[in-house]
Amino acid sequence: MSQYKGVWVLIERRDDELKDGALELVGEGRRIADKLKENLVALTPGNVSAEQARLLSQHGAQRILTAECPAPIRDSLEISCHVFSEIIKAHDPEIVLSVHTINGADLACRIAANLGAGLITACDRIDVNEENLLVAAKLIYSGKATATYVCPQARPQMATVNLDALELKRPKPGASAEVISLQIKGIPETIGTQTMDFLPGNPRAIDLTEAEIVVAGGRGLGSASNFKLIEELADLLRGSVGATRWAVDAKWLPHDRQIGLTGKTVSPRLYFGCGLSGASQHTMGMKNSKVIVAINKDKHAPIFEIADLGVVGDLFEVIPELVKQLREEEL
Amino acid sequence: MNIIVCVKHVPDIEDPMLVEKGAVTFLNNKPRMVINSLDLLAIEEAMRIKEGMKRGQVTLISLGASSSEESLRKGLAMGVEEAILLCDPGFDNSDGYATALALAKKISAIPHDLVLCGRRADDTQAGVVGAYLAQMLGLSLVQGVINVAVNDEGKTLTVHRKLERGTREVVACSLPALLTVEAGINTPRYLSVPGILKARKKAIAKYDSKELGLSSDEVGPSGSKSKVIRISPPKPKMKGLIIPDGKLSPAERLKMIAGGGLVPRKSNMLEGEPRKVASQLLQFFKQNRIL
Repeated sequence: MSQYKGVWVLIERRDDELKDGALELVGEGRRIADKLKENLVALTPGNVSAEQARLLSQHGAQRILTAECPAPIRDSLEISCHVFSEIIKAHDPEIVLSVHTINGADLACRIAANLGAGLITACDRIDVNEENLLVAAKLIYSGKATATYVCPQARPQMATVNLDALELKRPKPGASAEVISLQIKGIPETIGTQTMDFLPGNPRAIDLTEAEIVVAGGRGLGSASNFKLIEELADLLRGSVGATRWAVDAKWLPHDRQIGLTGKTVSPRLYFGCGLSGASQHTMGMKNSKVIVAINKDKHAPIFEIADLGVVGDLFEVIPELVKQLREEEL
Repeated sequence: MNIIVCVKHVPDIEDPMLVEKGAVTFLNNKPRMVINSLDLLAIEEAMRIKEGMKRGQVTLISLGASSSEESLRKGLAMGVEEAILLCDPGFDNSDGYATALALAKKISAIPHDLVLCGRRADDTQAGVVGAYLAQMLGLSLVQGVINVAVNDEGKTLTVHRKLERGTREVVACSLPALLTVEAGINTPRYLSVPGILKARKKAIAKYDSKELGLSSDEVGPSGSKSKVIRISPPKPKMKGLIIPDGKLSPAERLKMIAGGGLVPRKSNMLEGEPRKVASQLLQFFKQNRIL
């Protein structure tokens, strides 16, 4: 198995930008490569800009492989899979990593299938054991247990790592990777799938569980019409509107907007609670949010115990001011 | 249209369970086994496509212990015509690859235009069988499907894929194809009593590894690409954000490390003039890459 060498990271891009987690993944790949005393290679579709190459190298990539290809190819997971699989077959890396985003996971599955490789998805920790095998730990049974896997025989060993489990490491100034642009081979003449369109989600209409930003209101809003304020703020943050049970029972908002024990469980990037105290029935449905901000008149409101940032004040004074400043920001 | 739906019989993840001596144990001795939630949606979708076209056949296939019959019978009670169970002690501890290989052996022997799977199973949460299976059978693949429309009398499909932030990707897909379905694609129908009774009497064809033409090194652990080396309790969920700055005292940082990285969420409180508070909020959003 000695022909398999190097740690590779698949770098996703969207509209030529590096996607969230790309540099974090390079840093994680660097850690694994150091343990194995191997090179770290970043593989990405399309040409990278000088700035992107600099960022990728400073986070640990020693070589950047780019496959110049037109945009439709980058959108198609089917073609990306063929292109990447051919490149991987030609270089025989020991380990291939990607970020566990929806498309990152999809592409990794396809490549693993194409190569007959083993793949561990949605990992929270990866490491190397004494036999120099990639060890990957992930949650199973909806988070009630952790399972740790290895792929003893099949190569490359593949894993997708959760975005939450990755952290941005300090860049090493001065590092510079060699950038190699590859000829694309192996594009199949007939393909079975074709992307026709992307329909952007309307934060007002999408399911709360899919929302990345949630602005929620409670009893403190006082009336259904005051929810307009919350909606305005949500629109400016490109977020969705949620509510406590009290607000839903008062028919201020429909039941599909309710967060908590008898409503939905959300874990957005930002949860912004306005005029709600944070009763446990409500916080059960939002306490796993990445960042929690709350505004309440009562400085003893339980919501402040779990908030990263609490505002003690009158929401009818603060929110209009915030809306005004967000508007100015947009101009 | 001939549709095949892959079904997994899984422990009910709502059942209380804990990790003991490197294994998951269920508090009420035996786990309650149920059909994988996304596979149930796949069956419903298959039935809707078939009913919409007014022709075709739906066949269920499962790999697992003989108790997997229960999940297959649930599908039969929904109106599915046929069910197949791949059952062999040798299949125990197969990973996604070995499972897909056995499924592919059987599916390739049945006429099929469309294969449906759940995007992932509730127990292992791996989500790899669909892709392996599509590769082995040479089918077009679309994953995370939340809407299916049949075009040209069943020659092509237009499907919607679920992406982040509620975004949908519209994909044109030629047949034969394999789709993995995501939550929200449909609401499964209620089972009727006559349906349940009828399903009880239906025969379920069973095949072992020999009948599928699989050798012993193609199934179970020896046919697998990945291997579980350890089951452990989940790490306690992080309650707060770990603040990686040097402002904390060494004692506080030690406490953080000793506590497994857990720190109670330390709220910063803002108070005062609305205009100032609002601009501090704005600053906070920028710092946290929300804007």
